[in-house]
Amino acid sequence: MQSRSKLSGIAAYVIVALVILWTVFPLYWLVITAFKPLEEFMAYPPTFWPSQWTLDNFVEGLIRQQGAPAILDSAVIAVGTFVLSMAVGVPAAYSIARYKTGGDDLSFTVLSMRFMPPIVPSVAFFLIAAKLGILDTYLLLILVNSMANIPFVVWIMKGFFEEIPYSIEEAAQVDGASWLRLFKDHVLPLAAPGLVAVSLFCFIFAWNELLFATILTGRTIQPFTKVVPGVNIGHVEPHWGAIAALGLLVIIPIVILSFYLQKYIVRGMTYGAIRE
Amino acid sequence: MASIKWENLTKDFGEVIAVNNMNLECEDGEFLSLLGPSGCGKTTTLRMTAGLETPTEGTIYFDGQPINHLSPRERNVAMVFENYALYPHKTVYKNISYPLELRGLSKSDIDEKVRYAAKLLEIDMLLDRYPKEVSGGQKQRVGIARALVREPAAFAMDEPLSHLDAKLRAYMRAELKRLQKNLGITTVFVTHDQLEAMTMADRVAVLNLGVIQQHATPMDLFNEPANVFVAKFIGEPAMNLLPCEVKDEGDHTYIVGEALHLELPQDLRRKVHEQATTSQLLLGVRPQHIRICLPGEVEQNGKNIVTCSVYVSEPLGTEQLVRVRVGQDLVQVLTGDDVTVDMDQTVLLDIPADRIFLFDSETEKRIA
Repeated sequence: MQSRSKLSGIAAYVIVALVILWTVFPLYWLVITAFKPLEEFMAYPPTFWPSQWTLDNFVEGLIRQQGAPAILDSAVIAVGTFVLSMAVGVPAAYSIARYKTGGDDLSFTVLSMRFMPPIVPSVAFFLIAAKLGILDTYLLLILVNSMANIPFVVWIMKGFFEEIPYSIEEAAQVDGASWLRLFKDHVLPLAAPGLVAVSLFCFIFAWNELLFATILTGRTIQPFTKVVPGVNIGHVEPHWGAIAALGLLVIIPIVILSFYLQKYIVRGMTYGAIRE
Repeated sequence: MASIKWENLTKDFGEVIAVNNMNLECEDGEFLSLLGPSGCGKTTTLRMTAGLETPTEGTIYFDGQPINHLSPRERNVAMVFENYALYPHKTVYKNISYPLELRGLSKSDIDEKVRYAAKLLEIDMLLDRYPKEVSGGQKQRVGIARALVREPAAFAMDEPLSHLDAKLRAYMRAELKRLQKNLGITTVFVTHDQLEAMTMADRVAVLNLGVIQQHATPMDLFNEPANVFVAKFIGEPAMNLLPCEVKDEGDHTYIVGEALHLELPQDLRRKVHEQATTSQLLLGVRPQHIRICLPGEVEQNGKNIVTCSVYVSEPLGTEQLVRVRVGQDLVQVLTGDDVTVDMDQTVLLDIPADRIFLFDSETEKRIA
């Protein structure tokens, strides 16, 4: 019996190790590639540790290959999308959850906008934007990304708001809180886990978005998702070092955000016993 | 502090009329209890008073001023919720201090008031905890502390003791009553427990199906119930109600039931003749007022004596509750522990004529 449990223990470790290898190896490869000199990341067979650590790839990616302004463009679009999606989606979700705005099916109708592959309306978006003269602007990408995000925000946040007992809001009203005050003091903190999760998704969606960025931008706006495929040595060969350097730089904000916001998600779960 | 008046108040939820044309008053500093079974409209009335529901019709006045148009925060009513409605993300201290923070009091003033209220309700050692870390009874006390910390015009309490265990409930009944008298704040107290209403309130409004059945002092409700509903609802154990019929025989009037034959005194007789819409009545007598005798103790065919058999006897310590079979009905008798009876034993019930209530079986109103 003992040897059997020992065996299953070992098996568990092996599986965990494989999963870790599976998820961490690409990251590891990204990091070492970003710091390898040109001749090394192109070398065959590949090396598993840089013989020499260099920042050349960062200089190449950020400056010579226009990576820095691209990351800035992506940041503007991602922040804008996040702000707009939350500003519209959160109050909408609250309204649907609390006041049954639009009847029982509105939130599902809103969500159904996501059933359609984004490529379907992209041509229409292009034509509308051309008519409005907003092609190749931050505004357009923020609007389009928000349109994709808002249904998601509404759908998820509705569930979180419905979990908050209405009597807590009533107690706050009776205690003398205005609507805005009670929203800020009670509704938002109690829905924090949802808000955090949804914010992260909104931000990541817009940060990593490629399809709309490709179709709806020209020369002015160049999000990094559009720039990275063009990071070459000469004309054909991808500059893997610069690509890895840029890739490393763009995952850093997401990792930091996730790390920082994780505690809110966990804390939210421990509220669990809101209901008496 | 404020007097409250509800005038022609109606709340219609579509399928149900929760409150139906209610007229009621609560004086400044009074402890008014709204008593009734679930669904009687008592909580709806309270919520309309606090501003959480809008009346379909009618007006609510504070100190003679209509307040229908005021939002909850403008009414200065402090409410204690049945489910506590504490803020789960705030500590007990922050829960209690919240109404004061909204009023912009200074930190030191807030601290003083919070600690005073917490001490009063004996939760001062819990101030740093979160609601989920305190017991049900403590939560309820945090809810009460949050209400009284701000010295409101009125308290609206929705079954504040319902989730406490029996011992704590009895303790809190006394504490709340003292607190209310000391603070002198008008209090509307909703409960389904007649004992709570009777022991704490200055006056009680008994509600059923959205209509006030009777509005009176606790003793008046007990001694002068207006109708069958109040008679049944007030008093523990509940009043015995037996169907009977009025019969005139010469100068005497009798009420006759299956196993009953009681003579009515002159004054009751007159009232019955004046007020009854039917000869079918309900005889009401409280378990405390019936005397149980053994055969031989009193004359078996004497006046107002009913012969019956014991169904079961339940000792309650200093007294016992005896259920006896009178015809098809079971009658409860509360008697001392000096009487010993066995199941199916024949006993005699002495029903004093001056202690009986008579109700019209059609209108259910009290005749005498």
